[in-house]
Amino acid sequence: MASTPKVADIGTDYGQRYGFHDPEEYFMRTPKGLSHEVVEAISRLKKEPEWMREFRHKALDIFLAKPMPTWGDTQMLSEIDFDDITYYVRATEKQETSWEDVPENVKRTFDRLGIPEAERKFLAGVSAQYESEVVYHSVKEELTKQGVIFLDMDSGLREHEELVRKHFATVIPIADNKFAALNSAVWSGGSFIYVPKNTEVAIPLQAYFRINAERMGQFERTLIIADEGAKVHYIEGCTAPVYSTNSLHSAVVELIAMKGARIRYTTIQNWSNNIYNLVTKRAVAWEDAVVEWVDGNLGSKLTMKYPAVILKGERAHGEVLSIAFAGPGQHQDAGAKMTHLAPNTTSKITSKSISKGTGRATYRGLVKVRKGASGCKTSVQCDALLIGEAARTDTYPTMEIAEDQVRVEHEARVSKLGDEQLFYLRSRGLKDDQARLMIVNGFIEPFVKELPMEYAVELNRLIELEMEGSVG
Amino acid sequence: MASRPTSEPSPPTLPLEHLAELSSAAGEDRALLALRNQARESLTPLLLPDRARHLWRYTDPTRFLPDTDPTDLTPTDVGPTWRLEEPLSVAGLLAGGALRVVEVDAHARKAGVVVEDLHTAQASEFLGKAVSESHGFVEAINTAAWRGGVLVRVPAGIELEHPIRLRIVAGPLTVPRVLVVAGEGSSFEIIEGHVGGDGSRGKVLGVTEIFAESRANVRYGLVQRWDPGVVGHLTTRARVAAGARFQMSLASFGGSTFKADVGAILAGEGAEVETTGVAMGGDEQHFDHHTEHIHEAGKTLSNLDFKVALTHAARSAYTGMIRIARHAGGSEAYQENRNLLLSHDARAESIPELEILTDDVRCSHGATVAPIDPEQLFYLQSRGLANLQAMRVIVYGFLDQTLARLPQTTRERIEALVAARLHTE
Amino acid sequence: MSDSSQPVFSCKDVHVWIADKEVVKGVDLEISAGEIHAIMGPNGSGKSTLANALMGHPAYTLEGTVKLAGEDVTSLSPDEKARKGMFLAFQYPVAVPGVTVASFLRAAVSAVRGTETPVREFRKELLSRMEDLAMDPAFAGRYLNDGFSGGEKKRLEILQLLMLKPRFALLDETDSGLDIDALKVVAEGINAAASQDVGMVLVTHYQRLLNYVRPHVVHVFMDGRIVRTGGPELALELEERGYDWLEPAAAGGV
Repeated sequence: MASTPKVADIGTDYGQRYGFHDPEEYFMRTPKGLSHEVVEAISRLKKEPEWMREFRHKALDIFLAKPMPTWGDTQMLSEIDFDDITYYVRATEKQETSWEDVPENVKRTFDRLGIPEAERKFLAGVSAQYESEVVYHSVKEELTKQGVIFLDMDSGLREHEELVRKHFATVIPIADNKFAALNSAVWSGGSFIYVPKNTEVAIPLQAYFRINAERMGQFERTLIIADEGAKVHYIEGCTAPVYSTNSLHSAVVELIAMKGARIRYTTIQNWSNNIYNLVTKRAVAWEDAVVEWVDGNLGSKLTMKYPAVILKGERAHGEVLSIAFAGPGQHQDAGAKMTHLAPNTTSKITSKSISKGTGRATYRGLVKVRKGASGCKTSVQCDALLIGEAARTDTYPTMEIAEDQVRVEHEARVSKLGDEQLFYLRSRGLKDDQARLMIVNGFIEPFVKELPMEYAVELNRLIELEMEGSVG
Repeated sequence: MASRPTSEPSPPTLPLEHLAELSSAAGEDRALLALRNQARESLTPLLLPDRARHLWRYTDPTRFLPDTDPTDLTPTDVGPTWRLEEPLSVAGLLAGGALRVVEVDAHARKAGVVVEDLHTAQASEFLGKAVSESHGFVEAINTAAWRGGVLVRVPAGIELEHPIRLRIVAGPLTVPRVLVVAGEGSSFEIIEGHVGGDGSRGKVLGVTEIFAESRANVRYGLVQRWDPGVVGHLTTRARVAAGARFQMSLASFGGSTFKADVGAILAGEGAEVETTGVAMGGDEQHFDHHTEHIHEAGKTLSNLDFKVALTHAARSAYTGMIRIARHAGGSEAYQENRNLLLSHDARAESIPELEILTDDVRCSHGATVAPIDPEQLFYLQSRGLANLQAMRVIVYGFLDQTLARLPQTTRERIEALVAARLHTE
Repeated sequence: MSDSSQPVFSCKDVHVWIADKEVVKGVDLEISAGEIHAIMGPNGSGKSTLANALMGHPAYTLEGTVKLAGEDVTSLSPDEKARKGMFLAFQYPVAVPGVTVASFLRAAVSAVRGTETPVREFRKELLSRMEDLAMDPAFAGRYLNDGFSGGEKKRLEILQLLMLKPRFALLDETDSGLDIDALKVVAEGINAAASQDVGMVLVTHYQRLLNYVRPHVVHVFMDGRIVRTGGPELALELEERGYDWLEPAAAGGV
């Protein structure tokens, strides 16, 4: 750990807990930079069907043609050097279903991150992605018996090509935005989940994403289909070593909730603060379906992520519950999008952010109600907490309402960590940092209580790390 | 997510051929001509705003491009005469590209209130300092080619009992400029009323700058009731110094396409700004209101309450920005935008924004879009009110709290306009 | 519990400023273990400011000396004072949403006692104290002062007093906003604390609480000063005659 740079700004022991790295002795990697040759190499290596190969090449053309976004943190975005990134890195020869078979150095990483232990305790299935490929994958037998498919995306494409082809890129088309196009061109790994009709996956499925190499790009692709009346909870976590150079994480996540289905997608994003995290996440909710994005952003240098739900069927419900913690030097540009296309659909967005030091947290949201989507209700609530006079918060909500029979509400509040609260807690014997932590934990409580217990504990601990040294 | 090029492929050109003639015919000094030329420079090439940026997301900027050369001095009709029916400190009429009627009552005259033709006034200290040509292309066109302008200056410590009323009559192309300077500790109400519209073909590109010097108390009303069919863009900025209070009342009724960009810069410690607005749209009217409260100094307070009621196929977009700068600690800012949709085809957008760069603040904003509450409607109908009557009562109720914040004379006037509007529905 | 030879609390020549304004203009107090003092005075006389400043509120500047069981604590932070056995019951306890009463109290009890109390033991103690104060056990799971009624907030302050077991407690208008039943419960809590040798100062402008809690000493506080000190009978006199008759004395003291 001697070479680990200063990490005080993302919790003082991020370096030890998550920021370690293994030697980069890899099975294979593409040359640096992005080209049709690289795309071809990835596709060939994966022995993909022709349509996917073409899809990738087309996506690359679109990526190259599209300008960078003219909104958001254009300054930070302009610092990405697409030629200095390795787009595909494979650490191990094959994927394993037993931790014993995972190569020692990679297994050690996940041991340190506590993944095998969590799997034993409370998960129905685990997928562990290391660089570009899933190195470990395991599902409880009962689920397989019920007909639940939980695979890494590459295996999903191989084993269920027709199902994948039918839904792949239907929620997020290639040309949706520059980074979705990039992902479409070089995607690797991620999860493919299909839950059959009226099947309930009672305990969560988890994917863990780890970037180890320097100047590397991770582009996982996830597609979750919950058939009619099905129910599933998927959790993802992510970390990376702390390098002084930047890496790029650009995922595409598509969720399809058929009639009456329910999907909850929980993210605890804890990338090291040299990672650009530019992610497109979108769900389609059919009649009576419910989609919930529970989204926690603690790490990364810049996150731009706006989980979306397209409410296509009557009475569908979409929800985004998010917290963002922007420590010094970080910009969490996160938010949510709700598109009401059908009548009597409802949505709720709750966003809580904490900006500390020179951290900047931005809420950027869009609520859209199409003509004819009568009887819709939507509410947006944003709360921002500021710690330190250089902290910054922005709120950019947009509401576009083309229908009169709807109710749309937006509220935002910004406040400083309260002096009176602090005095009250301190008068009860709590030290300054303890009192601050308690106030912050209370602030994010509505988010934490939606997490499985183990994650709640982990998140509270992460917040504690982030809050260290926040005094004065 | 759409990313568009930041400018049109071949920018349209804007003819401003007779700028020097305009300036000399109006008797302007060199400094003013230089300012106009500088603004003209900034328009070459003419770059229209990036519509991906939300400030121009809802309204096509090309609608505000003049169809004719704004510096063309062809005389235009001055419109009907103005009958003054109320006690006023000052009455000023801008029509046909010139300042026409100026009445200053005895008290105001004695107090040293100045009302001058802006073309010849000595105002370089203020002109362009609150709204510069870099503000945007409309403001740049105005700065280069404004014609017909007025300077109102109220000396320090003067309190005016009666309001100052400026009436601006829209012609085929009207580019008016208003400059108001409120001296230290002065206190008065000033209403800028926009009327007319050249039989509905008019276009207006107006800019107003207001300077509230320390401890001044300025109550400013911007009342727009153009003829149907008028296309107009009005920009107002107030610079509010330490301890000064600026109250802005907006009332938007007329025109076919109206974009307003209004705001205040809280430049001195303890400055206070309160913005209150109502917009009522019907038919196929398109309203686009942008408000800005920029807190540059500490311990400043701003509050905004903007209400929109829409019938028929009217459209409204509201964008509001609260910005608290890095060293403006101890500030508070509140913003509320409510939209009431009275018909199936009405449509509203609301984007209340916050940019907060320091921690010692209290801020909140809220926005809603909703139809008339059917329960309220049913209740009123069950008490014998006809549908339309009941809707009027509800709209009154919706606007009432907002109207109650207005200064008395402005309030009476706006209430009368609201009533007139509701009864023609 | 404390050395009986010296007062559990004393302050000498205390002045308090809010920004440039002097609100408390020289106050001396001395309270022994188990002793109850009442500070009575009209609204706006500076009583609450005194209580908050003694606890170390950052908005106030305090001059003078504050001692807890003989130890100078003047410049200590509020949490250090709390850990040394000082307690302030707030007039307006603030809400901390998202933090449950139980988790807050456990953190506070651990901080003040200097050891982690095992969960089970803590819970037992908490429920027992809550029962004493006729509080619904569900209360422990609610967010701290969030959406509490005035009476609930005051009861929670007394619950904290009983749980934290300070040497010395300042109770700032703990009787205001209470109905008669709540007032009795609060009074019982105060008497229970006093019987365990806690020294106490009740800041109030009503005689009401004093019907149930008998103070040993009554101070009349006006315009930033103690203008008169006497026994419990002084409180009754104030109840009857108001504060006006004391004005000249206050003026005379300048």
